[in-house]
Amino acid sequence: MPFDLSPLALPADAWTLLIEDDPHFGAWVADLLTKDGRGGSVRVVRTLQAARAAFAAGPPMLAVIDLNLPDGSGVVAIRELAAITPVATILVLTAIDDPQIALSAIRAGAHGYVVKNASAAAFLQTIGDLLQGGSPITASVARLLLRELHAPTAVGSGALPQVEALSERETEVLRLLTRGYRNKEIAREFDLSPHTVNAHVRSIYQKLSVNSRSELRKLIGDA
Amino acid sequence: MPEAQRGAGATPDPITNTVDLGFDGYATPVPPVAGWIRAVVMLGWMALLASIWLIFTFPDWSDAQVKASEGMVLRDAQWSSHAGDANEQWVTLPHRTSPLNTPTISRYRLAFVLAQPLPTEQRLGLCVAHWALSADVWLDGQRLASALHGFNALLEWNRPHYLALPPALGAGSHLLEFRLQPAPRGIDSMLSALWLGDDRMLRPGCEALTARQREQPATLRGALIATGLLALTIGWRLRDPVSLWFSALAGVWTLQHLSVHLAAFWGLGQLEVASVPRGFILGVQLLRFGFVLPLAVFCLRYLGLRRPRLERFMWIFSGIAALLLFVLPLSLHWVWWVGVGIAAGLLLLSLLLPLARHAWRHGSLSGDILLLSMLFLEASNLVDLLRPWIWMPDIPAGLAQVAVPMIIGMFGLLLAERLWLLYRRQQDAAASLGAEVARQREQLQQNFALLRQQRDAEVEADERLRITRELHDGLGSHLVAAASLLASAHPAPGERAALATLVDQSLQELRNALDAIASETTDVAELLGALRDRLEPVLAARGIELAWDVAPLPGTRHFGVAERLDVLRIVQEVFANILKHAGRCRVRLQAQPTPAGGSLITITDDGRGLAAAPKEGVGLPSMRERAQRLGAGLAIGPAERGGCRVTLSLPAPAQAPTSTPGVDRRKSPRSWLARAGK
Repeated sequence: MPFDLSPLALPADAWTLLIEDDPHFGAWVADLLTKDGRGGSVRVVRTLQAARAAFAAGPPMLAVIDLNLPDGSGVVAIRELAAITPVATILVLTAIDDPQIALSAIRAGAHGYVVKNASAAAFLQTIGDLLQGGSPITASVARLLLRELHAPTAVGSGALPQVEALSERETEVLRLLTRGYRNKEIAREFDLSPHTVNAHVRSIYQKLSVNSRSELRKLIGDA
Repeated sequence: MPEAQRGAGATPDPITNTVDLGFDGYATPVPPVAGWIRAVVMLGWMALLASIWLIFTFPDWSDAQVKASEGMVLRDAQWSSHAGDANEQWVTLPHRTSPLNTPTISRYRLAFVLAQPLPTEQRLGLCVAHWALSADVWLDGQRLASALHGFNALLEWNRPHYLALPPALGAGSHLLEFRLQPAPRGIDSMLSALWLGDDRMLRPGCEALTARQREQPATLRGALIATGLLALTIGWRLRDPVSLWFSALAGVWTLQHLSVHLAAFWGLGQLEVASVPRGFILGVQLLRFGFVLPLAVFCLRYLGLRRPRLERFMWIFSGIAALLLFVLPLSLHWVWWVGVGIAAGLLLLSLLLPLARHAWRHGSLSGDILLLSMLFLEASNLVDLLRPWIWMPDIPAGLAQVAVPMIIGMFGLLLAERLWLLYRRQQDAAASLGAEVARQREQLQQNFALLRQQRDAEVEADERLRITRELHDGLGSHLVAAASLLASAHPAPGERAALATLVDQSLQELRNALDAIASETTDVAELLGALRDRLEPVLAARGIELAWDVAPLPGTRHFGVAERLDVLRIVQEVFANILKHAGRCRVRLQAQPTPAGGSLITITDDGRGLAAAPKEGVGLPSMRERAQRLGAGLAIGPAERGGCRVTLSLPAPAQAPTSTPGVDRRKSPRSWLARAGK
């Protein structure tokens, strides 16, 4: 099974922060994460306010953040966490995945996002991918990324300065991603290792994040 | 005149490319000119007329006049109406006899006395200020050879004429006798005063006068012919009746001038005046006043009266005037004078009054000048008619001849005005045409935008309906099932899982619909990519392996929300069937562009095959219907290694029933294209 992972050396103080306002879904996810154990201890908060308090104690290893919070957008939490620590892995949870929202989360510093679903297997697989250094990405988000980064001027809202343009290979990777290919398949297609493809996707994420920081104001507007 | 009639009738005809100037007097669009400008122009025009008159009358004439009048003037003559008539009367020259009398020979006898015989080298000459028609001249019972005869005399009629007397005249009394042949009916016999003097002095002066009288009409004829031809050309090209009638006027004048010359040319010259065919005489007389009718029509056309009754009156008046002038004899009889008076009055009434009214009302320069010229023409004609009676020996040239260059000048100005008007009309027409085109274009754009808006709204409503139905049929039915499961009193343990599946399926439906609505992509490959993200967790949970092979596909810009949803639902239905019936298997989705420019999507599984599926479920007809809407081909059949293969071939954008290349489907929806694009 895909979430059959090689064990990682977990730091003793490793913990996972779950920001989720829905108590039922929050409990279900916390249960899954705790059972899985790869994220260390799990702490659930329901609001942005509580999340900030939790950051203050020390950065989590993994943060699973719902975007719809009662006192603000999860994007703010992502940005603040990303500012505190570069090492935390941030996963976004969305009920109805609007790729634009996903994109703004990635801009803020998220490493992946997952659609709220009753499928435990899919969720845990995403967590596994993330912790292994992968960057789970959907075709819709890839399409938006391709537009934003490859031809920024072509997109009305995406007037990003071309601080860091995509490399040719990154563009090719994104193209295949938009057509629904998985990282492994892309690796096979280009005769690369899956890790290299992962690295490309991470790099793409990072470029968007870096580019977007220079566009902070716009980002706040998006959030 | 009502405004509506004003300026009507001057629309450029785009087909023949000619312009009806419609220069119709009261409807004339010539802008009114300020009073002082009119005054200045009229004064200038009068000065010009005076100059023309002076130029035609005085230079080099005065010198000749002086020379000619060196001698003595013979004014007293003894006149008798028959040769050998003893009943002689003393008359003072100039003298004319009435043509109403029976035609007779008029005989004038003049005596002069030489105090001493002339030296042999000295000769006397006689200058007749206005040569009579067909006269024989005798001196002391000898006929002088230089007397003019026959119809040729007509050419010299009324011109100064020089006669040299025989040399070596002795002292004492000498008798000059003029025998005037009977003139054609209607023309007076007449004799003007004579100058008698030294040949060396008198001859050059008198001959110079004659030459001038010959040359002037020739010059005028040339100018008339040129102007007439110009008017004809312009009238023809512009279909301008005013110019055409002016050319007719010029034609009549020219013919009148040429008539005598034509007679000479045709061999009538040597005929005695009495034996010239009556028809010819009539023709000449007709031509003499023949200009009245073209002149009247010219003026009427210029005025462009829109009142038929007034126009009819003008026609009748000028017609009567012309007829009067034509039938009246050229005589000093009171009948003639009354007739001429009536004719002049009618002309004044029918032409000059309307012209004056028009000039006064509209303030057009050409109107002023036309009026002035007509006044001058009529006045000079009248003066010319009076000339034989009043005898103005000092002014040998006819005033009517001076009027002709003036009329030519007048017409030149009129023509310039008309051409300028034409130019302005065309400019105006072009400008208004341009404005109209711009207006129409704007209107068209507005209509187009409106139409498109309506179509968009229509199609949007249509799509909304379809999506609503999708949600209702798919999502709604799942939720109803889930609700009924929840409502059952004692859910079995297996039913909890079924419930979760139902809710998941509902979510899936919702996301598919949202994908189709929210997604900006029209690329089928990207749609499939998004679908994979949705499907894969479900397939993985069932242990179904998915092999993915999606090549870049041609764009489907004609796809709207409904079309995207159709494609998604067809593919999704295939996977739903696989999930239901195929069991644990491997599925391969392949999407390739076709050579024809469309896309081919093939989904193959190696599951239990078609036999496991129900004959015709609800899914298949729905798939077929969707494929039909897309104009796509759908084939469902067995795969090589068992299992099932579904092929969906999407048409190229140009072949799709819903499409037109390069047109954004979302902005120009299908129904709009289907109706308006063809």
